[in-house]
Amino acid sequence: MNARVLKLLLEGAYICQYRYRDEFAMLEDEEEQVEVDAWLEKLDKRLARLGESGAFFMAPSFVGQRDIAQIKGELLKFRDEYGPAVLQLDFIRQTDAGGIMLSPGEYIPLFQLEAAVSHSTMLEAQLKALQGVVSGASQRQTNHENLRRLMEHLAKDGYVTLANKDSGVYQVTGKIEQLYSVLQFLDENKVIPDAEIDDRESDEAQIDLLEPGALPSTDAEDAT
Amino acid sequence: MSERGEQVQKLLASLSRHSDLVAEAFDGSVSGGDKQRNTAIEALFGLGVLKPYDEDTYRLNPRLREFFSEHFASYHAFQALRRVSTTMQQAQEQWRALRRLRVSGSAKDQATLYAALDESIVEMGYSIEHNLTMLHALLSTQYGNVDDLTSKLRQNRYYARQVDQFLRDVQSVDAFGAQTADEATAAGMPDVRRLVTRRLGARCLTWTSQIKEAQEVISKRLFEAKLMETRVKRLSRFSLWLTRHRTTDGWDVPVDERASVSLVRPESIELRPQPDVADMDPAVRDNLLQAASKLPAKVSLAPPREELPPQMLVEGDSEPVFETLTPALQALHELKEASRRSADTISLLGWKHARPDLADVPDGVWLMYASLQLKGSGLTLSFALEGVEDAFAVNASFYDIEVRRQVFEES
Repeated sequence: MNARVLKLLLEGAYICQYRYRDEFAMLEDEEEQVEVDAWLEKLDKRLARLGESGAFFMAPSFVGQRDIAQIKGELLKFRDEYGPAVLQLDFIRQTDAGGIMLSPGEYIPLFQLEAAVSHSTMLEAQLKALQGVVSGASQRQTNHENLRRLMEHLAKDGYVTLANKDSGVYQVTGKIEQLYSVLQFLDENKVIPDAEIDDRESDEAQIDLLEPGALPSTDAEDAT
Repeated sequence: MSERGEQVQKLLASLSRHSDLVAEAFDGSVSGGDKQRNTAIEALFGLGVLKPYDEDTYRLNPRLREFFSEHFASYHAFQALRRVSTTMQQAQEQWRALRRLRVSGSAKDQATLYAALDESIVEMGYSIEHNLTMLHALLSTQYGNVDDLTSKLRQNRYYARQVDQFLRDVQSVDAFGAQTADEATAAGMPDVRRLVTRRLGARCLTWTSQIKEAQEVISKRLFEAKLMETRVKRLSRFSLWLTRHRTTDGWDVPVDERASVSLVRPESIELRPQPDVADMDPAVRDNLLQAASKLPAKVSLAPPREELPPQMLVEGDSEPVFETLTPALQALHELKEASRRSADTISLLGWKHARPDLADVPDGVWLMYASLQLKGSGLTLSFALEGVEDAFAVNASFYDIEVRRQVFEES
């Protein structure tokens, strides 16, 4: 049993291969898993994973009333608890919608974000609008500085990790899957009304809109 | 001020006087009410500010509404972009007429037509700027003028077409500007060349890039979700929800024991190792001392000095307490004194029997008590044994104890 692994688990860390490569490799060993599990059992906890092969984390032995109260409390304060990460990650997604899928292990170079923002007044306005949820961001600072602070905020929250300090390249960590599972849970409970779900447009409309060249010459349908 | 200027001033004063009604009409229709309200409606109707809509129902003049909408960046759903092609055709006609007048015509007519051409070109630029402002407002609020996302999607589709047309219009304007500039040079009219180059040509590139950017956003912004992975699409949807529902914090969702453990974020359990100070292993001890040496020096805080009250002598009438000696203690004291004074041995039992106040004390108890007390006082005790002493006796029985002072005392 590795002391560093136990310490990270007790700290509440999500041990994935991108942020804690060595510790993750140790935990991949089944014998180590059994030992750690047995150790955590004394604390009424257990070793769990996000998904089948995601990050390891310390979970309660079973979901009890205290855990239920914690989940409910966090969902009631979703804007404060998960909101900043949702807004920040969605902003990153918009900088390169086709490329960035925000999957664990994906690289996000800071210079690419900066280039996207400098080429789009929309993204620039959006970045400015995020100032309230990015710690240390300000109107007075440059886009580069605000983007750096955005990434640092995400890194502090554990969703990304600085993979290369010199080139300013960040990497998405396995913790993001925890956020996805919360969103999935909320979606299953239909917290956003059906009227706001955008899955109902026909496939024809998608092609129509995604390929401007394929737009029909008449707009009679909508004009009426 | 000119007569027209005064008229404008009067018109604005009337609008200002009935500003509440104008504001009401901007939000919807207005109807008559009390006398004062009816008078105001009549006045605004007379000025053409209000237009009849139904019986006793009036609406704001669409041109005035447009002005306000633009000022407040408030646009109604599916509001069409302004077409500049009509104004461009008008400008083309004016330019042709201007060239004809240049060859054969009066200078005054030329100046009038030049002013008209100037107005048309400014109008084209203004329309394009207006369209861009409106697009920016709609896109930055993600079509905030409608709540339903399906309507947003339809608007997005609508504006995708509108922007496509708009881009073609701006490209035509660019071509018109370039052609007019060339023709103006050929016709020897540098002022017209300056006009089209400055008002149109120099700005077309910026307009085109802004339109293309808007076009890209329209094409992708909401619809990219359809191509995204489910979870990223979900992220996008929740982000949109957070942007649009700024006053809502979250949801009260039913959660039970079957909920996934991945929803429970692990709370940090703090670790604070405590050194074992009793461990005398040299390595542990040295490390402990080393760690202790790094601690800041203990700040000794002087205990607060207690303010003592002034001393005083209290004279009471209580009697001094004297120690009262029990008969056994009294007898013991006297025995000690007697043994110290005399060199003879004194029998403890004999001493007891001579004192009637010790009659209640059993002989055995007296012997045990007195012998221990006297031994502690440094006197020599000897047991008066019964019968012949056995050389190897383990326990010898005695019937009395005799006491005498020690030898060195005698000497």
